[in-house]
Amino acid sequence: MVPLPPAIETELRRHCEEEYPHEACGALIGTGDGENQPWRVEEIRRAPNAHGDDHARRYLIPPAFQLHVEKYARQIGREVIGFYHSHPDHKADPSEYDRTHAWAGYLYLICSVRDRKSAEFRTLALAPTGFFVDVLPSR
Amino acid sequence: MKVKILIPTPLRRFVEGAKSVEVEAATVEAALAALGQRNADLRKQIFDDAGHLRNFVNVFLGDRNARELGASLAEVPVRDGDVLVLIPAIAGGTPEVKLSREEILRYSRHLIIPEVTIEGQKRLKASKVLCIGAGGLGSPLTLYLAAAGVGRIGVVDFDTVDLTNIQRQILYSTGDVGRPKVEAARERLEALNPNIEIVTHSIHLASWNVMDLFGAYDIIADGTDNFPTRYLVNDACVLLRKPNVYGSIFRFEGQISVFDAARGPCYRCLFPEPPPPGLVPSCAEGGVLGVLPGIIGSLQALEVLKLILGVGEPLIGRFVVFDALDFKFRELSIAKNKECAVCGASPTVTAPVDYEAFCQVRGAESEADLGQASLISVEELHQRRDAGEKFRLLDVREPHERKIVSIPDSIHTPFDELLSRLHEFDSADQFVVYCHKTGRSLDAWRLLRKAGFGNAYVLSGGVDAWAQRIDPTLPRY
Repeated sequence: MVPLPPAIETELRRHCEEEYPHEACGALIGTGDGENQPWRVEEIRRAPNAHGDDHARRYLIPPAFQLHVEKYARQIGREVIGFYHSHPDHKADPSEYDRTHAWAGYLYLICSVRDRKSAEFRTLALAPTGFFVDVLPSR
Repeated sequence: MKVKILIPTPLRRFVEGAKSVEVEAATVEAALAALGQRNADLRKQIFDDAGHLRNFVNVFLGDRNARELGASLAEVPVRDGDVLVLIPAIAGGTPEVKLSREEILRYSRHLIIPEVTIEGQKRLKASKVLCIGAGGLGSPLTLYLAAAGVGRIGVVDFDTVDLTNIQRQILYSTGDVGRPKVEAARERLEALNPNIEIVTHSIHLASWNVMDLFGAYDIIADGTDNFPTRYLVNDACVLLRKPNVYGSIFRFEGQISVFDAARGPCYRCLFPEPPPPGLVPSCAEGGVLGVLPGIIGSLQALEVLKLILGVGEPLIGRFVVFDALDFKFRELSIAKNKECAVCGASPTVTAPVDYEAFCQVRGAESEADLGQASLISVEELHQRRDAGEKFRLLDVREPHERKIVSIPDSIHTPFDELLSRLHEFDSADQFVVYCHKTGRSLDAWRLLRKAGFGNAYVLSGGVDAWAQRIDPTLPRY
């Protein structure tokens, strides 16, 4: 698992709890690429959930938000290294929908929320096989 | 034209890790094609087989999505020094809800309805509904929601099962008398459908707990029997933008509506103020025909299922009154009130508040302003009468209640007739007023005091206390 600085973990959990029973989503800003350099999350940015109808089970990050956060990250010499979202009342395991919509090269963080309390989270990346693997602290 | 294309992290591995690439092109499409020529794998990532930009890839020219700048990307020109930003779509979600073989069979009569199907059944399973009150309305409501496969049903009730409940509250059996309602309800609902989750909340709903509680549910169904809770439920639903499926009953009349402030009026748009205390009796005071909550609670369950499935026309902006005696459903159109204190243009209610004071529940307020000296216990009355003291014992209940039970040697004047028949009484006499419990006798006592009857008392606990503590052979109701 990619370690999160405590303040960022607290903020991420709070966001996921606030959106419950809907899915929370946002961008992970930091450094690294998961290959030559391990990922390091230094900041998160909350995104609105732009999915049309089913906010309890789906998220979609608005492209305009991505553009904005990409610009911001570049300005402070960082990168958008990945995205996070919550699974209300489900385990932090990626869904088939997560997998088919994922991009290799991004870090994906999934946080489980049960009864408005955030639970376990996983950090994942898409392997060349097209399936998710957990990211080890060294990656 | 020299154009710079910013490459997002996941695509950099195709361009030797470069953060941006410069190409020569006249249009956005030509610029992307030039990028694709550098690497066949990259081309596959961003273009489909027909050479169109994949719809999960967005390209921004400056701050504008290039797709919005022209009919096709080939028609969007670029100028020297322009910057294009590739933005991959980011989406995902919770794992699919799955139905077991047993569930598919159990819900088969749903699955074959074109408006429901297996997709709708999964929506039901993924949904969370909170039922306020597990009484007459809550009984059919929770039973039908559980049977239909709503995945999580919350039940809020603080009461225990009483024998007088069983006549209409079909969640419970005679053997449940004395048990906490939520405990008996859980047992019954879990036995009905073991595939769903029943969450029980044995609490008094209050301003400090309502937001946290409601936040965890998609739909709130209000089956309460009192105004403070009804206003609290309405306000919390508006503040949290949750639909409130409302039902209420009285004797032979039922009401139902769906209040969803995002799409229509709320309960306060219709009733900005609660009625004066005592005007609307509760079921305990006024009575209710056993089957009526069964009808209204079932209609509430129907509206909940429609909201979850997204089918039909929900009862938003419509208020239906059912008159059981005439068998008439009257539908009233209700509009959003721009001046509404909670969902209007400039709301004054921005957080939940407790309405006990606002609604002035009869009893708590009235007992407080009544001096101890004016209350007499059933034991004291019994002793003093036995000792030979003379009391005019005045029963202010309705005639049909008096047929059930009354205290011996009492006189009878229904409360509604009291004022017009005061001349029949001598204000010098010593009066003890009683009703079923203490509600109406307090009102009668006030009326007598105002009319100059200085020697009037209220029998604390009414005929019900008399039947419990003085003469247990008498029936209770």
